[in-house]
Amino acid sequence: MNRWFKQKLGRDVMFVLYAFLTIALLGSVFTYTYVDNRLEANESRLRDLDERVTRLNALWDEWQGAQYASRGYLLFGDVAALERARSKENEFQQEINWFKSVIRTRQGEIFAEDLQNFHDFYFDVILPVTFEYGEARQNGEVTETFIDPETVLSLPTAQRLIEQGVVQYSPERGIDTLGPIEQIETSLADYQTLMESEKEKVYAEWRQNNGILQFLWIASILSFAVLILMFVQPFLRRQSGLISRLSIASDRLLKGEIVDLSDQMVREDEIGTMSRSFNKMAETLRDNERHLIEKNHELQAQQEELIAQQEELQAQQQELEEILEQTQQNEQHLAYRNELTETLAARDSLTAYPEIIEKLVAITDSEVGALVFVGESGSYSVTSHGLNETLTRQLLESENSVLTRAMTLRTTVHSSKQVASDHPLPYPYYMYETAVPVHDPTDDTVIAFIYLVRYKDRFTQTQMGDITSFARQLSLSLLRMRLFEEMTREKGKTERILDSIREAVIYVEHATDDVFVNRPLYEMFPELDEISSNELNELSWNEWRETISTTVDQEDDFLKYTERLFTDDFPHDSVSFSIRKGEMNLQMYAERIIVGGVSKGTLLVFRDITSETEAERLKSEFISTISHELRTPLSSIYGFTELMVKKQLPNDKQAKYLETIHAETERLTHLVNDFLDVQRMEAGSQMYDREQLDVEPVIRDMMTFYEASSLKHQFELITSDDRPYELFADCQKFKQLMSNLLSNAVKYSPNGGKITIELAHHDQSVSIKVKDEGIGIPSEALDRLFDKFYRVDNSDSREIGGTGLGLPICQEIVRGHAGQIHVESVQHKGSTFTVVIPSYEHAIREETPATV
Amino acid sequence: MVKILLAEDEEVLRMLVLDTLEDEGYDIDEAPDGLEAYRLIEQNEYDLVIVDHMMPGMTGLEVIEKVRKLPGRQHTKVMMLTAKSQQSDRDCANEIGVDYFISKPFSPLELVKIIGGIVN
Repeated sequence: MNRWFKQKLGRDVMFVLYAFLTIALLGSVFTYTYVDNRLEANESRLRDLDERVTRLNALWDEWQGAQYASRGYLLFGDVAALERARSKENEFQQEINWFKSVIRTRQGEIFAEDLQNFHDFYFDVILPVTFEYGEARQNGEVTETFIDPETVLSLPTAQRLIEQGVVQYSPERGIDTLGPIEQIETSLADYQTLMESEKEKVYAEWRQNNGILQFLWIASILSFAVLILMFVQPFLRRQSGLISRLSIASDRLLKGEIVDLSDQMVREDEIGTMSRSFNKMAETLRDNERHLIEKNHELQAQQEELIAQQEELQAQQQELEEILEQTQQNEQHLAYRNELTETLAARDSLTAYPEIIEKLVAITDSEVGALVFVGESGSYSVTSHGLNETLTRQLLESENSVLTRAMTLRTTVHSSKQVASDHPLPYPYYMYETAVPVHDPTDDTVIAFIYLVRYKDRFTQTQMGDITSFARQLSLSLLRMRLFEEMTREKGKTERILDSIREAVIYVEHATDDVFVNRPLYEMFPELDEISSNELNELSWNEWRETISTTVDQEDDFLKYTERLFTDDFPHDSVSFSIRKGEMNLQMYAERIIVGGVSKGTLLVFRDITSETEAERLKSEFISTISHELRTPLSSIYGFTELMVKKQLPNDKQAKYLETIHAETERLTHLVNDFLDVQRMEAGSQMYDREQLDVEPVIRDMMTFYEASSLKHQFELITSDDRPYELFADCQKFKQLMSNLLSNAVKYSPNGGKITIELAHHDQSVSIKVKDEGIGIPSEALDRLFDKFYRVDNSDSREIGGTGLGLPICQEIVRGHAGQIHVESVQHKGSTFTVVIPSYEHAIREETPATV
Repeated sequence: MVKILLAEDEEVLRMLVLDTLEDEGYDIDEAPDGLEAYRLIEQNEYDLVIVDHMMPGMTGLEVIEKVRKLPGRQHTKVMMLTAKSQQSDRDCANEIGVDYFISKPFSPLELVKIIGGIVN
């Protein structure tokens, strides 16, 4: 048995577990059965009690029924009712019999006896007596309404019963009938109470049994948990201890230590098996190690042999590498040549020359080199590689230099010479030079020389061939470069011209569909800048057209016109439109560029005609206004004169009309004069007869005149100091200016008030302020106040006449004197006009700077 | 009696037309600007409305444009008396609903004849 346990891990613990489970199961079954039986007994007892109560109630009902029936007979003589009462006897007896059959206790027995006694008394005494009494009443032997005990005693049955002692009788109390009835009622009630208390008891017992059942269930669960804690955990701990010992041993084995697991190896379970296998593995490992060490020695010997072979291979490789280097050198040489050719083909500017000479030096294995260009009138320009200035000068100036000789001979010149010992090289050596002329392919003149120098070896045949062929290539390239530069210069010139004109231009080349535009186009359409800054050169004509069309207010006109550009229906007229909601007015026309009868391209020109359009508009507006202004007084004069000529009018009307005609004629005259003044001033043809003018006395004179003509206004002149206020001004025009300002001040303060004139000196100017306390000017009108024919549009000013030219004339006069005029005003409070004109001294200095 | 409204900002011209027409026995209301003219037309039914074009507040054309939108004023006869006499001004007035167009300067006696023809 003990051995069986040791053979497998966990067998012992599983055995304990199974044993406990079996005991627990059996115990549970027994307890369950026991408690279940107890519960079953409780329930059947409850059922029995319930039945007793039911029957008790039925019994009570039966008796009550019999009583009612007998009363019915007595009261109404109903024989059927009596029979019904009698018939109850049997049913009553059956119920009593049932109670007798289920007697279990002493109380039950007493109760059954009580029932039987009552039954006998009721059916053997009460009912027969009642019957007899009833018969007697029907026969007329008895007449009283209620039962009289005396009468009852006289009945034969009653007497028999008293004699037999069944009924108790005493002369004081009569027949005792109530005694037995009270007794049975008490008995019934007692029995019922007993049943109820029995029921309570059984319920209590049932609850107790349920409690026991629950306790048993919890207890079995708890005991199971305790078992697991007590047995399973210590077992696992023990087993894992063994396994961890094994794992520590394997760690140590890994580190190469010797491990002894002999105590565990004798075990019979899995740990024992594992330990034995582990031991075997450790031994195998030791064997393998020994084997490997031997093998290693062998391999080292082989490796030494290999190293020897490798060295041999390396020597061979070096040889190959040298050959490869040679090939690469050749390749490099070719690559240089290619690059050189490419450089010559692709470069289009002088920046290529240093690169060219550098490559040429590399190809020919030279030390230094130079490209010497022959300029017009015998000048030279040199691009050199490794050549210092002194050497360059020597080369160009020395009569014996190869270059000079080549220039004279116009052919290739070689030279070789031993170099002096002061040269950096530590040994005497030869220097080989060559100068190869480059001819212009068009007229065979020499345009440049290639100059190369190398040491040690002379130029080989191949190198000379290279140089000569390169010279030919170079001559072609130089020509091409020259042409290209010329073209670029021309193109730049054209671009500059196109950029500096005011018109915006788009040119579409027919052959390539390339589009060229000038800078003014971007200024005219800043929208283009946004879309074209990144993809400028790729935009097609249609994209240009579309972008421009979005800004055009008359988009349809623009599209219709431009649609015709590349068709036979080429537009020869021009079209005008506005862009960006009238911000600018443009005129557009197109031209075909035709070279030798073939149309090469189409030119679209945009001209900014905003100012022309605006001037046109202003002119027409001016004429229209003038005509309107003239027509109004003319209408009056024409109308009133017609009435006077053609109608008979009373005298007062005639006088009034004449007065009106006179006033209107005067107005017309003013208007024409003012109009002519404005025109003259605007055209710049107004001549100012300027002189040194002290304005204070002039203003005082005018003030006196206005003061006399208006009683409602008070005039005041304020001066800042006693110095004279001298201007360089036209006296007549200055008077016109002041007259306009003063008459405005009077006119626009119809309710009178103070009119103040302030004179002040400033650094270089004199200011004149005219201040009134009149109706003032609404702020929205201030901006347009100096516009021609502008009249403040409200009911206050409507009453006051005027040509609408007074202030524009003032402005023109002030400007004519290099001054400024401005106005400040608060509506209903008054206005202040300020004129600032350069002082006499300052004006003279400015006027004649050259002669001073 | 024939009722006429005269809207004209120039007092002198207003006097001229008024004097001439009153002699003919017309009942005439006066308006010195566009706003007043509109207010009067809104309140009264006139046989003829004479308006100047250039008036402060509201131009004659603006008055007529608004008047034509009033109920019962679509067919009120309107005469424009204006210093603007170009064809474009006439076309514009015609489009807005001006029935007669007289350009300044005008003959008052001619005007009387024309008005007589309109109202009778």
